[in-house]
Amino acid sequence: MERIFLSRLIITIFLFISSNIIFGQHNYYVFKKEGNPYFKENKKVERGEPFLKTDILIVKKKDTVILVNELGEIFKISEPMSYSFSEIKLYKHKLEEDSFTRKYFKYVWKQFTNQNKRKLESGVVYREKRDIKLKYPIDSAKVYSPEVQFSWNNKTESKEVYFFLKDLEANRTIKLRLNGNSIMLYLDNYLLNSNTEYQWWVDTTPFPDLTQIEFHNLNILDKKEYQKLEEETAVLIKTFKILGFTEEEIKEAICVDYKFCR
Amino acid sequence: MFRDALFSTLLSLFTCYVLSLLFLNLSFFNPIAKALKDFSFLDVYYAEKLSETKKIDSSIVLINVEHKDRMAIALALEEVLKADPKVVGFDIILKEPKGIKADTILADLLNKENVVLSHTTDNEENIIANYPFFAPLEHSGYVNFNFEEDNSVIREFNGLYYNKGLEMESFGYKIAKRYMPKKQWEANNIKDKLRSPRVINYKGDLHKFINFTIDEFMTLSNKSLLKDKIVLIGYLGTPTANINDVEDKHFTPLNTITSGKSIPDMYGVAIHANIISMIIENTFMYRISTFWIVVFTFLCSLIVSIYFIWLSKRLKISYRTVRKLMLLVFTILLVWLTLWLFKKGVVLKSAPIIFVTVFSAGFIKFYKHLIRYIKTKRKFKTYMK
Repeated sequence: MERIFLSRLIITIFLFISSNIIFGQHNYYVFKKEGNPYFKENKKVERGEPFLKTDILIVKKKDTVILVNELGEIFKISEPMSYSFSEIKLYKHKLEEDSFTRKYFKYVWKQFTNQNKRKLESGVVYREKRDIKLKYPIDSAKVYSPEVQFSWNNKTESKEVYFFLKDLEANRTIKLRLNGNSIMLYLDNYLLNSNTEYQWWVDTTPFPDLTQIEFHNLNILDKKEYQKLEEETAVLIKTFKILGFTEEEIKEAICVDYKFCR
Repeated sequence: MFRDALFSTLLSLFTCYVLSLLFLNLSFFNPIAKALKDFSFLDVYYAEKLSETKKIDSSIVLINVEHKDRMAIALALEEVLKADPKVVGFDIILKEPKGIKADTILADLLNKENVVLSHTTDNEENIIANYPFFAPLEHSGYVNFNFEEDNSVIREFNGLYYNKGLEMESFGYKIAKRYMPKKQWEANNIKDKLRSPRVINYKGDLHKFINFTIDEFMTLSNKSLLKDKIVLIGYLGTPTANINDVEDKHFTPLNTITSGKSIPDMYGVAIHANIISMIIENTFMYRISTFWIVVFTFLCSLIVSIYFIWLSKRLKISYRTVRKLMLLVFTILLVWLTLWLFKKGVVLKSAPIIFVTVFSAGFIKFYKHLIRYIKTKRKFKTYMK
């Protein structure tokens, strides 16, 4: 009896070790990311974070995540959908098909035909505005949605920013310290209320000079106002559809031009 | 015909040798000689990405200190060590004390067993190291890449160096030695391989390694990525990979401009990462010795001489055009062969072979005139008219 137990124990230990060696190769880490991909339960995707077996990766339009495993293999994910741990191996980045010889003769041909890249030199120094640019919702947007994603571009040195949301009716401002470039707020009748006007801005300091800030106005619509605006834009939407524009393009155009964002 | 070809080749080799001495020693030619010294056909391999791998090296993590103060570096190093990496390379020299608090924390952390520090040797063979308060010199490896003067492109590195009779270990050598199991180190015969300068088998720039700034690293909620890895802490630009930032940046064969004026392309810590990666993966390059290059040069020159002497008798009008065309084809094919061998891990310096062979081909005409002159003085058996 003891012998059988011992042999089973040895086999179990052996299987455990070997499975660890085999499956150990499939630890994924985030190598690069673009946009705002996230793991389920709103865990942000950051460079260097592991992709755990229990994680679900959510990639939206314009998002890209590059993962790397222990062997240094690269997995590129850019299609907007959800990915489980086991699916990642299907997205291995393939090697370029151009062969060594073909690349070499392409290079020789380029040299012979003098197809070198033009190099335009200009004697100037760039001074771009190193500040925070508010992205969405655009200024004076009228939004009808159960949640609002606020996003901005941070071109400052500071990684940490302060998000401010001012309720114009209640004259109450909330302030949140954040590390990323976006925040999602829900219509919970506390932070965000329908039929209310807001101002929002992002700053690197917790106490910015309120006379200097650049803010966006935001109007959260209630159902009645939304329906009214829907009726007003119905003809326009129909025309756009006849012209062959997609739903997304129409939505974007109306949001940019008429500030009505659904 | 063989006799003529042999004489012509020997004469051309001798002339070439004399001309090369003049070329290298006359100060008038110095800029050209320098430019040629910095040029290698092999650079095309990296610059044109002829064989780019899509893999990255996941065993080495780079951390960019940007221009953070000592306290920030100390806190980052503390976090790095908590994540249990196998070896930490500290590619920063703290020449003098600066602040008691930060320096004390740093000294404590830098004395950990798995931390390798750096020092450098200047032209007078003086050692520039960390202030002794931080760690003794034995904890550090030299960060000089090679000790060859006048060569600004980092193609080779010295793993071991003998300074005033003492055997010094390089930064990369020391880190790889601590990282690799002793058995593997000995089985791969690393020490013997690194007794002489070795060509660096570059994987790529810093983007071929996982890299973070201190801020990015500190905000990571799960730092398990670093466990059992090599972590190199050094400077990778402000912000990371800034092309206009040239602090601790060097010329490498990966520079997209293979000759002429350009700006340095790779940070020192990324070069160390490439060296370490080559040692731990045992992907050393095998260099063909000068003896064999001389043999190949002689053979190529001889074959080319035989062929062109034969061709000069067969073609009267189109000889010059065909000769130029054939030499062009020969050069293109030899460069292809050199690059293909490089891909396979063999370094063949083809520039002297090409130069001397083309010179020998052009020398046939001179040889012809020489024979005509000799024939006016005495009898000389020759294939040429």
